[in-house]
Amino acid sequence: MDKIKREKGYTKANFLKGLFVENPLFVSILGTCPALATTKTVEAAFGMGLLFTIVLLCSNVLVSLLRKLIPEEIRTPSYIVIIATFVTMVKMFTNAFLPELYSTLGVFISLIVVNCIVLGRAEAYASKNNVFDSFIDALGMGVGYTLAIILMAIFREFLGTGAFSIGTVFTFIPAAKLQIIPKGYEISLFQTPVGAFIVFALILAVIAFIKNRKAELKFNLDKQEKIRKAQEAKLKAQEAANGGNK
Amino acid sequence: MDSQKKHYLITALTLGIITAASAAIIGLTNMVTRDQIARNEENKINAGIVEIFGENAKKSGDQHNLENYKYVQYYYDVTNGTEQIGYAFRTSGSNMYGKISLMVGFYYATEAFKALSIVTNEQTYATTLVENYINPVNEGTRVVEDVSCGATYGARLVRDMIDECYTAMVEVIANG
Amino acid sequence: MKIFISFILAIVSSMLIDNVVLSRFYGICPFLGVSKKTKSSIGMGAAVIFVIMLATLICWPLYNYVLVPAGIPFLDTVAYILVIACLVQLVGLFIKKYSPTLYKSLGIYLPLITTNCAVLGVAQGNTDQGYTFLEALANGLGTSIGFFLIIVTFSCVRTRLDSANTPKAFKGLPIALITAAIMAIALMGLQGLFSGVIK
Repeated sequence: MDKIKREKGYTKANFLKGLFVENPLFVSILGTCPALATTKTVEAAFGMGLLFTIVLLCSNVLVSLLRKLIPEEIRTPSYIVIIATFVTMVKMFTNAFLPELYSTLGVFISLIVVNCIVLGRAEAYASKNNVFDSFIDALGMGVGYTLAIILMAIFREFLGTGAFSIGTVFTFIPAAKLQIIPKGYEISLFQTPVGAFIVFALILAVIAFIKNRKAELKFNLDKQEKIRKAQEAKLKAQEAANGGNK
Repeated sequence: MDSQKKHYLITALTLGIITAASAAIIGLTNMVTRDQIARNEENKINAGIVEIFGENAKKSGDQHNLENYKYVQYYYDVTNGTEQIGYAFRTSGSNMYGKISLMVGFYYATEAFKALSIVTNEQTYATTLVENYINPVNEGTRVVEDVSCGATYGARLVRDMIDECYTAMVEVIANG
Repeated sequence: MKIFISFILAIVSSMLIDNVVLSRFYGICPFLGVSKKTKSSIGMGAAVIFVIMLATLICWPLYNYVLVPAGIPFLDTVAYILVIACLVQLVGLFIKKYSPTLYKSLGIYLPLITTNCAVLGVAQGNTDQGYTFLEALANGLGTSIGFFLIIVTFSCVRTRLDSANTPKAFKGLPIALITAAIMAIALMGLQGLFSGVIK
C-alpha cells in the first residue's frame, strides 16, 4: 500500500518538474539552438517539439533498460550511439511521411543528437532509475520543452507576421490563416534571428521578475513572522514577570 | 591480468555490439522508408508540373541532367498526353537569405515563360516573396524584371534563376 | 585565381554575413555559457576551430569515399558523432598535456564541444548540401573563425555588462541575450556586401 502511494505522488512530481521547476529551456537553459532556430512559426515549433519528445522517450527507455549492462568507461559513447540511432530513424520516418516538416526543420533534426537535454537526461536520470520513472521523466521534459518553444513561436509568429497559419507543415490539416494584426502593421523583425534573441531574453526576464517577486514576498513574510514571534516572546516574558510579582 | 584483459574485451565487445545493432536498425529503417521517400519526390515533381501546366500535363521520358549551370539541375519534357506542350526546369539557388528551389515552365510552341512553382522555400522573407512577387508573376500581373517588392533579394534570385532557365532552354532547343 | 577568391569570399560570408552564431544559431550553448571571461572564451574558440577543421577533414572523405561507395550513406550521423566524440577526447588530452592551466579554466566546457551544434552542424551541412571538398573546407573554416570572432567579442562586452546598472530582472542572461540581439542587428547591416561580387 505504502509503495503505491509513494509511486503516485512521486510520478506526478516527476512529470510536473519537467514542465515548470526544471523546465529544460527556461530554467536549465539547455537546447537553445533549436529553440531559437525553429520557432519562426508555431507549426514548425510544434513539429520540432514532437520529434524531440519522441527521441527523448525512446532514448530514455532504452538507456534505462540497458543501464546495468553497459560498462562504466563506455557509458557516454554508448548513449551517444543510441541517441544517434533514434535520431536517424526519426529523420527517415519524417522524410518519408512528413516531408514538409523535414524540409522546414532541415539540419536541426540531425542536431537533436547533440541536444544537451537528451544526453543530459540519459546520463543524469535514465542511467540510475527504472524504466517507468525514466519514461515519465522523459515525458515531462519533452512536454515542457515543447510548450516552451511553442510559447516562443507564438510571440515570434504573432508579432512577426500578424497571423497564425496552420496546414503549411502538417499538410493533412487544411490550410488556414488567422490574420490578427492587419497587414503592414506587423513587426517583421521578430521573424529574423534578432527577434529570436529578443523574445528569449524577454521571457527569461519575466520569469526572473516573477521569481524575484516571490522571493521578496517570502522574505517579507518571514520577516513579519520573526517580528511576531519576538513580540509574542516579549509578551510571555512580561506575563511571567507579572505573575511572579503577584 | 586475465580479469583486466577480460574486462577490456567485454567493454570493447559491448560497444561493438551496440554500434552494430544501431547500424542494423538504421539499415532496416532505410529499407522500410526508401520507397516512400522516392514516391514523395515523384509526387512533388508531378504536382509542380500540374501546377504550372494544368490538369492533363505530365512529364514524359526521363529527366535530362544539365551540367555547367549555376542554378539549373535538370529538365523534363511535358506533354498533355498527345504532344509536347512545354519544358519544366528544376532549379535551386541560394542567397544570404536562404535557399529556394523552383520548377520553371516554358511553353514548347512559343518558348515563352509560363509559370513557376515552388518546391522548397527556405528564404527568410518567404511569405513576402511569395505574395508580392511569385504569385503576381504567375498570374501575369507582374513582369519578371520588376524585382522591388519587399523581398528584393529573393526576387532578384528568382529572376536570375528564370533567366538561366531560358538560356538553358535555348541551348537545349539548339542542340536538337 | 577565381577559385581562391571565391574561397576567401565563402569564408568571409560564413564569418560575417551569415554568422554562425547570430544568424544560423549554431553554438549558442557555449556562446552563452563560456563567454563570461575573455581568456576562457579565447581558449574555447581556438579549441572549436581545431575540432571543426579536423572534423571536416575527416568526415567529408569518410562520407564520400567510405559510406557512399559502401551503399550506407544513412549512417552519416552516427559516424560523424562518433568521430567528433573521439576528436574531442583527443583534443582534451592534448590540451591537458601542453597547457594544464587552460585545461583547468575550460573545465567542463571542453567535453561540451561534443554537443556543440556548430561541429555536427558543419559536418552534416557539408553532406546535406553536397559541397565539394573545397566548399566544405571553406564552410568549416568560415564557421569556426566566425564562432571564434563572435565569442571573443561577446565576452569582451559581457565583462563590462557585469558592472553595469541593469534592472534586477535582466541581470545575467537576459541582458546578455539583448546584447547578442544588438550584435545581430549590426551584422544584418553587412548583408548584401558581396551581392555584386559573388555571381
